[in-house]
Amino acid sequence: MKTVLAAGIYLTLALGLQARAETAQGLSTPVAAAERGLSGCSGPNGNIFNLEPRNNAVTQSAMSVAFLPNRVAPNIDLVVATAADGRGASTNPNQTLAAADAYYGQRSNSNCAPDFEGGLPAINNVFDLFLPFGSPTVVADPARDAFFIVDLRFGRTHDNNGVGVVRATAANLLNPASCPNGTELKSATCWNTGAVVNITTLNAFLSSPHMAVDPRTSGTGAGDLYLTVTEQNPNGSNTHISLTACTNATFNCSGAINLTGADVHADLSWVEVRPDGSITISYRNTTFPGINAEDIKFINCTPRGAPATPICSSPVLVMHETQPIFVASPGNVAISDVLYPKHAHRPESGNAVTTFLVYDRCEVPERVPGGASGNFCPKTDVVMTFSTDGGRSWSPISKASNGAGQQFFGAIALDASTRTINIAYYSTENDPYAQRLQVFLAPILRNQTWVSSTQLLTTGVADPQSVSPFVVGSPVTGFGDRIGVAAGGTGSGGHSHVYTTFSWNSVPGIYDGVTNPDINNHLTRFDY
Amino acid sequence: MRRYQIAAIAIVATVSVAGVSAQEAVKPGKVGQTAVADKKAARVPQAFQNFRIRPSAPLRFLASGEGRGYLEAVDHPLAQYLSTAFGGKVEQAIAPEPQLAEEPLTNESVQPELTATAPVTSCKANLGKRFNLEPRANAVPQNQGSADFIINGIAPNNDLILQVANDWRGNLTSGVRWDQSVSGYYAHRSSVGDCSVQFEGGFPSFLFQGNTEMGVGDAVVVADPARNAFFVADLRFGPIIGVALFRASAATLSNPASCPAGTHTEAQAESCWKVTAPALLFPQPQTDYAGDQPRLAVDERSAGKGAGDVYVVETEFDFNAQTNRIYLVACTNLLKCGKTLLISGPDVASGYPYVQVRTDGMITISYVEVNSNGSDSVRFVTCRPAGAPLSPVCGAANTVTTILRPVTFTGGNGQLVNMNFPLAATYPKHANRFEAAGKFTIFLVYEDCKDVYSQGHGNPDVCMNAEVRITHSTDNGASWSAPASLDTTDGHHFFPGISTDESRGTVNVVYYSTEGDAFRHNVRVVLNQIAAHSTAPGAAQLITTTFEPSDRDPGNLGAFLTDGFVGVIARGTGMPGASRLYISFDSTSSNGTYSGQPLSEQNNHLRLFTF
Repeated sequence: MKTVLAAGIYLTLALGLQARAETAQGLSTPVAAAERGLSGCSGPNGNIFNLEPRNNAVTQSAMSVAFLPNRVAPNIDLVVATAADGRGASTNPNQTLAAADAYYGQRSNSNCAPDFEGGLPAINNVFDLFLPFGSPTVVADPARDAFFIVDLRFGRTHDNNGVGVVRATAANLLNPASCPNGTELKSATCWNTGAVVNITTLNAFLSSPHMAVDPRTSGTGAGDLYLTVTEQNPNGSNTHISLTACTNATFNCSGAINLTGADVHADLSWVEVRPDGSITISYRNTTFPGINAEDIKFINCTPRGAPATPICSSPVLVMHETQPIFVASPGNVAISDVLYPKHAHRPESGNAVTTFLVYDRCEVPERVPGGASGNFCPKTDVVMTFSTDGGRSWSPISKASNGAGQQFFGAIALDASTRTINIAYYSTENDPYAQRLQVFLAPILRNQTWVSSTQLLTTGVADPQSVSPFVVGSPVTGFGDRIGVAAGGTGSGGHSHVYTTFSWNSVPGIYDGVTNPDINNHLTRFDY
Repeated sequence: MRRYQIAAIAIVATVSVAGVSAQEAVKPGKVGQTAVADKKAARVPQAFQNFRIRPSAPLRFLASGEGRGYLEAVDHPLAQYLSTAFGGKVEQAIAPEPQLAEEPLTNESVQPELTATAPVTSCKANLGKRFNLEPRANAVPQNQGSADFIINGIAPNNDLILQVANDWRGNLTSGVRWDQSVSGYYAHRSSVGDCSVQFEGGFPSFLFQGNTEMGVGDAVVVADPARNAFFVADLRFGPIIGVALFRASAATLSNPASCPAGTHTEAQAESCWKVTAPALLFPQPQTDYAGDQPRLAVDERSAGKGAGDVYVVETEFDFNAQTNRIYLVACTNLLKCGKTLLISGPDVASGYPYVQVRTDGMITISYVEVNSNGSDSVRFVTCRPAGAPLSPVCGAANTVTTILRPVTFTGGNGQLVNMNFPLAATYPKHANRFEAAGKFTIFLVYEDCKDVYSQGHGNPDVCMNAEVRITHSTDNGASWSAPASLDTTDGHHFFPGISTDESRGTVNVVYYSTEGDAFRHNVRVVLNQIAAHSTAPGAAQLITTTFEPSDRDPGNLGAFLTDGFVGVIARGTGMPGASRLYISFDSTSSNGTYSGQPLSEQNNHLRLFTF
């Protein structure tokens, strides 16, 4: 029995966060820049993008980033990133954030230095009080000057879960009265509207939510939100992808529809909106048990204007991937990776659109040593394919990088101002032992369908084996499962920005007076 | 008021979510999963969970569900005994990948070098030399090496070198490429003094009371220059468990007819190592006991009571009494062995024994007694030789020191943060140095935890900085100096080994150090020397200058099959510059190939330092 909350119910939990503020004011004390190792967007490690004090620091695993170019002032962007933050994990005995689903904002500078941060508020509605439960992803809506964060939600009193979405206008995020500097203890004033959709019982367990906003200012569906999530069949282990459409500011939402009926293990959806308002969803479908070929599928939907449900096509096969990376370490890197297809649309001349899709792939079959050993991929690549006919047909895959070692956690974003596609990823190519990471950017320039040259974003390195000794545990673990990228600009040369957020451990924590590597969400900006 | 109540409930409810988030993390194919192999690597098998002493990697592999499942899948001869030995069922039986079984045994002495750093041409090079002949395709870990040598045993400035190590080809391949022994040996006998390996193999199985006893690892080696021989002890498993003692003369090892070049078959291993029939020491039924952590020493004197005798110590796991004790056996040079002798007296949680023989024939033994509060007491015992096979006469144990914060103690506390050596533990080792007029100085080194971080809330304490400490005694172990740290800065310093070059009275202490690595993970090999007649350690010298992630291997095999020590041996002629220090350590500078793709993997390396 699935219940979908459709209308704009948004009562947020100012209450709980107020209570915490009353009891823990000291937590919002800003931390000195030097202590946090701030070195600017283009420093060798980017910038640490949280305000956590260094004593007993815990893990922040980077998730996503979005921004409004020049929203604060010329050349000063309003930037919001998300991460899984151990300070808010329910398993953290010293919990200092309201939730592990956390946000971080830059509004006073162009140095990738955070001004404020917090855990997402709970969302109250007629069914339950829904608490943040993982996978926060932020998107920006330039046309309406707003940001949204989607995440999983878990009912406090009933055995249900849903997809949460909160909204904040840029004006609200820029207002210190609503979003004070420092660590927010009243995040419901910052993210002051929200809703929970796709509410199901825990037997229909949800995972891997994603969201897109129709960026247009007019036309059917303009400004609508589209939320996807993996939903488990209550009667078994099968999964499908659900889609919900909501209005922009009032969260008047459709019921959820099953997009992937025939694919019994559909998972890891990624939703985007084309310049013409069409909604596109990519996902993978695998077969259990064991490692099997995975199908990457693509769906087109026609908007009808939320809360009306879009009309969606049957899934089209993008790639029958016989060498997926499936819960394996990329080489010897102490990280686990999976095939998670992500895509972006590039407008061409006229009404044409080129769609680029990236995913991590094992260049040779994944190794399953068995016994005591973990699976590993001897050579992991970020590969891409593109379609110029709306996803009906796709090019052969090509590698985003020909670097040695391991490339993984491929992420993709369009800079609409220059029609440049940006692919960010981790690579071990400069480490003789192929274990330490750097972050790279592979651009696909306007009118091209190939990576012209790769750009090293971090001259520093990170070592995933080294972690905070303050153990928080699931769901905030290690370097996480992705990096986030967002791009935009004015269209003028030198005024495009690519923000990449990633997990990194160059800034140590302090533990009983002893320094040790600590994993933080970092942010870097590349200008072109 | 109402608002506040709701708020409080919301926060409590957040805590209740934990169980569900764990549920999400284990769903197959989900993003956000942690590396499963890392968690497995830290686990102690159920059969050993109530002991304060942790089993070595070979025993842990045999007792673990994963290891047993694997051995069953490859139809390993040991698989039939594991359920009766360790109880329970396998966790999974996953067949090995076909590539592991299809590689033919090579008899060619090839050493392809796909190094991650500069090509290695000599064991005096930075990272020494990979000291095995394993083909690069689908290479598996070799670790925990130890070596000894007969100086100028081949020619002037060309030593006859024998190294032993855990070679996981014994468990992880089907027997086509290797003889299914985890106890590996590797020899240099070339006329060119380049530290090249001419042959390798797994110590052969043999019959004891009609039962086949297979080598399962933890091999250690000593040379006996006076009699031109080498001795090796390793763990044996079968219906009867114990410790094997092998002997091979230098002449045999140098003879290609006995020890052919290349990787040995079982028959070739027997030809090489059964000229003298091996002995099984500490034999016990595997249902009740397990032996572990063997160490040996030989009385290198050419005359006197006990001259040429071999002493072997082990840790016994008694599954009925749930105790750990230290035992010793004395054998003649031709492996006629005596009775088992209890060394650890009333101690019942004893492990990590280490034995040496002084130049006057006295036997010295150190070990650890793990106390119920998690501290370690380091014990020291001296024994007077009686002439094997008679047991030596041993005194009661003295306490050298009590280590309040050892590395890895009760409840999983004290593990080295950032390191993937889950079985690292405080393991004292000692060396004797003859001074004059019958006087000796005993040096003892161990690792402890300089900085412990206590998170509390039920989470284990972790070790932020391990340090190497040293103490010495000039009264035969009756009293000891205050232990001093060899460290100068933060970082982990661990796995110390110690050896005296008696020809010049120089004591050598070697260990891993993460000092200088911002991530406190990658290691270099460091040496401190103590000059003759001095007890003051000299400045630390870098033996290897490259920081290495020695603890990471494809599939994280090297962590599960983890290392326990660095091997160190020093000998000389008495002439300055002619003394040799051979260091056996793990290196991941060589690549294996996996489906044709290069990946760094763990190998036993040998590094020569001359002084």
